[in-house]
Amino acid sequence: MNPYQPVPAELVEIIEESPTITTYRLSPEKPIPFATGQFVELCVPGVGEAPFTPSSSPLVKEEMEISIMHVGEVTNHLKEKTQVGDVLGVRGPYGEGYPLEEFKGKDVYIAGGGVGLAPLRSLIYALLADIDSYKNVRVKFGARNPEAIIYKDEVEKWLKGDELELQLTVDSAEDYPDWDGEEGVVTTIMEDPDADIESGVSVVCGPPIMMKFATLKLLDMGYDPDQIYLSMEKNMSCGVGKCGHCGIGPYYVCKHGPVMTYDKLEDYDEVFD
Amino acid sequence: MDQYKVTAGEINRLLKSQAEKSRLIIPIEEGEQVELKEFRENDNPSLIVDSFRPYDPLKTFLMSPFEEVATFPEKMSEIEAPNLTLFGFKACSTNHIRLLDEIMLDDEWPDVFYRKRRENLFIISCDCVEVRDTCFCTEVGLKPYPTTGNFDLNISHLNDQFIITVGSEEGHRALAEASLNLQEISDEIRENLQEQRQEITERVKNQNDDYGIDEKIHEPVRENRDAGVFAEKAEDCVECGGCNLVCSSCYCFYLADREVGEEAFRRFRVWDSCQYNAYARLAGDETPRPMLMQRIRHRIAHKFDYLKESFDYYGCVGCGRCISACPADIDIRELLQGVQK
Ligand SMILES: Cc1cc2nc3c(=O)[nH]c(=O)nc-3n(C[C@H](O)[C@H](O)[C@H](O)COP(=O)(O)OP(=O)(O)OC[C@H]3O[C@@H](n4cnc5c(N)ncnc54)[C@H](O)[C@@H]3O)c2cc1C
Ligand code: SF4
Ligand code: SF4
Ligand code: FES
Repeated sequence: MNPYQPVPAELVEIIEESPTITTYRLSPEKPIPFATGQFVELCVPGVGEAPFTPSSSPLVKEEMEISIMHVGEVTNHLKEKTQVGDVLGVRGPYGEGYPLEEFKGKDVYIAGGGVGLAPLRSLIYALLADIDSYKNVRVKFGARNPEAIIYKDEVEKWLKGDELELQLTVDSAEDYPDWDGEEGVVTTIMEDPDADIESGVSVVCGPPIMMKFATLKLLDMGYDPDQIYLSMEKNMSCGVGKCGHCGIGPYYVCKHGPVMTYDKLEDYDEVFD
Repeated sequence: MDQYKVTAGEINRLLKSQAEKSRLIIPIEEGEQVELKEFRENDNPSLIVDSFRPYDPLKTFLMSPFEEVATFPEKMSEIEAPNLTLFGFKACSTNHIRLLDEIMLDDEWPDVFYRKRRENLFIISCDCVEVRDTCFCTEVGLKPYPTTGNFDLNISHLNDQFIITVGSEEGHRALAEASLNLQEISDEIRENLQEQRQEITERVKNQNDDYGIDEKIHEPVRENRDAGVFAEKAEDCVECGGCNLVCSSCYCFYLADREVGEEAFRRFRVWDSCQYNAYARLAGDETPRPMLMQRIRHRIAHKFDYLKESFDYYGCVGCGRCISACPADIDIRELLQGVQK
């Protein structure tokens, strides 16, 4: 199989999540089953390619959803020029996702921010599908402001249900008088007296600066570096451990990650840069 | 490994036999450098064996600088990779292949283009008999004759004789097909070869004495990340990327798509250099290595720390090509020397 060859995938639905984030539902010509936390390379023909972690359930094989923040050439093209019915390209899945087997029987503590919720939604779907296998699932989500909260329907459902404990916060609710939830960056709601830290695992995904402070917070709370699972983001091109771009120390994020425990990374600089 | 003694005439027979069934590339002295060309029947075999290492990186023959690797939405047809024999590359290049194979031929997602070319590549390497001041293989744990495999046949020129070492099954087959007159070698010849190799090794070592490169250079490279030499060399470096492009232990590339009509493109695999500012760029113009000094450090750390940790050998074989290539006269040995301070 040619690792550089994308599979045509029809765009079947566009869901606007927030002013800056959109979810795209794709139906690849042949299914691209993935494990939660693995990523794919999505290409807009003639424009370019970028790595994304599917935000949909890994149990759904025929389709996949990708939630994208519009920040540059490929991602803005998707927002401005792409319509339902267009054919995009997908290749993958690549890398190591969340090791669910290792999470079993444990307290799973999840912290996320911004578009980092994309892989986390997929993870939560996977956990919920087999929720009795995990001791407790605690989720802390942060968004810039109430409008920036994505997956509003799911979030509401999860808040109401009792399968997982979800807490939300927004950096600032200044212009949103209706907001009656927490205010402050996600690290301010991370202390959790009920969390079983000693035998638990923690998962972080978000913008680099959030990942950095959430990791420091988790260390402070008592998690060991090897209990902290990070979804790393680096420049990528090939996705298959060859082009060199995504290197951190001896690791290629595309191959040894994108999900990596902090103990592997802590000795290298540039981790959160 | 099997070793035989042959005459210069037999080497010529071998070359002709290879030329009949594959493209045959040989080195040729061209001004100060050694370049490559197609073999012609009256080329002098002993000159080819003795020539200095070719300037061109061997990787050119396995992953070309600019190569089509996909088309969309219609898939491209499988590539043709005609049989190719490379004659006259030295041990440093066989050592380069060790790393290239490791990266490009992993089990999960092998590069099918590289694999096809690699399968059809036949390598006849030669012991070094000439040492130039850019050579330092001995300083990175290697030798001026093959020690890590990755050749089909190797030729050592000893006085008026040639010793062929067989490195693969294909090597045996090629000797049989050329019906060479192979002679057993005596213990005396074996010893003489050993001595000659030792002597060349010493020459490489001696000329690098002044750099004093530590056998465990990975340790200072890891520890002295703030060594002043990175900033010092950054003042001279013009960010041309030549040092990477000419190095067969550098495998970096990027994928570039060229639009060809509605929702259709051709995709190319293009060599890249970690010395370029855009190399590690993330969305929003962020990059983890905005300063040239950081990128120079990355090049050294990748070769001497990260790859060492992954594969237990260095990502530099001491071939000196980057030294010859650099328009700013930056010598990688001075970088290593500086890191040790
Ligand atoms: C494993 C992984 C998972 C991810 N998952 C998600 C996700 O689920 N959702 C999400 O929104 N984001 C995700 N991202 C981030 C996403 O990949 C980036 O936001 C995306 O690459 C931006 O692409 P762009 O073309 O829009 O941005 P641009 O800023 O235009 O370009 C981004 C990339 O293209 C390269 N590039 C652009 N121009 C040049 C140039 N002139 N020369 C050289 N290189 C250039 C850059 O090096 C950069 O890597 C993920 C990233 C990784 C690594
Ligand atoms: S870094 Fe320079 S000396 Fe080392 S293998 Fe590459 S080109 Fe040769
Ligand atoms: S060849 Fe020399 S000038 Fe060019 S990028 Fe390398 S070190 Fe810099
Ligand atoms: S993206 Fe090419 S090595 Fe990771």
